Amino acid sequence: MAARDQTKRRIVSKTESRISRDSVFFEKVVPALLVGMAVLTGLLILFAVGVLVGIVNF
Amino acid sequence: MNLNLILPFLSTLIMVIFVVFVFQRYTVRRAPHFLFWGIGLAMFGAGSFAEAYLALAWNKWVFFAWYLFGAALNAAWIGHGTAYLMFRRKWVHAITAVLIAGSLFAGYLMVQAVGNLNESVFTTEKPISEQYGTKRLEPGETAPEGVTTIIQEYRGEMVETIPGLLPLGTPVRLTTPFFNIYGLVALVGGALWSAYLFWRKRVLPNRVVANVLIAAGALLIGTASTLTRLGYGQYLYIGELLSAILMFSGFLMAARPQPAEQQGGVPTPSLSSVKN
Repeated sequence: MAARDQTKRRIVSKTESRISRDSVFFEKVVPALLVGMAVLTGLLILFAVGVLVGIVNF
Repeated sequence: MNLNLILPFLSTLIMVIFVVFVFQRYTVRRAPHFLFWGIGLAMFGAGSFAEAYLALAWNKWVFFAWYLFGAALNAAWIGHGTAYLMFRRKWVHAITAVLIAGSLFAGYLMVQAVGNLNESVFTTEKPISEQYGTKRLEPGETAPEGVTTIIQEYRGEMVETIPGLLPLGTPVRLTTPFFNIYGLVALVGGALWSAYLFWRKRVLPNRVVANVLIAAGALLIGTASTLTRLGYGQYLYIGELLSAILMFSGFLMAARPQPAEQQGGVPTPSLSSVKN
């Protein structure tokens, strides 16, 4: 009985720590967020470089 | 209800709890990334506390703390913690020396700036983020209604400015982009890269979400700071509060062990922005 419970728990645990292929959140939203944030990071860095080289007045 | 007081106070409160969590982990693990995160987050909290204080009264050393820790240094120190997770230690140790030397230099420049502050412009009616810098008006640009401008000599020419606490051309203001670029690249870049690795390997969804939250929190404060530099300081305090909430949520989510990690059922990628 105890062994069967442990096996069941292990299966559930593995399922919980895997990303499901059916998840719209992980298939669509997360990649869009990653790309969007990478682009925003690039823009903020460009702005900061612009301040350093004197293109952006502040 | 004064939002200039309440929002920074709430940010400070969250940061105090966050810092205690991080330093608790540092005392157990003795890992340098926790140390640098803790110091950087404490700087973030000091900056937020200074904002709350400056909404009530003026003190030039509180302003010193606000600018040096809140505007200049905190992102770089938090990001440096993430760098310890991403790169070889000997390289990061070298950057640590540069970061400490740069921070001391910025502190020295800030001490000089404190002696030249234009304290007459200070008011508790406006957030400090809207009155700290002197803004030079470009030819043809007009000041907002009700704002006083002055004509002053700057680098050999007469320019129209909106006076602020820090005079035009204060050297310490040129140091902030260096720290913030490094902080942004290390913190946001590290979190996005970690999220991408876990997502690509299709493991540990909690860490994917956690890293997205950390990156979003760091980007939010980065965007709010950029808007402040452009003269839109009214978004800084709400940006700080949301940033503190997002980063703390991300940290808690990443720090929560997954069942499979406890049992060794799923291999953990070598790079993670938060290691337990």
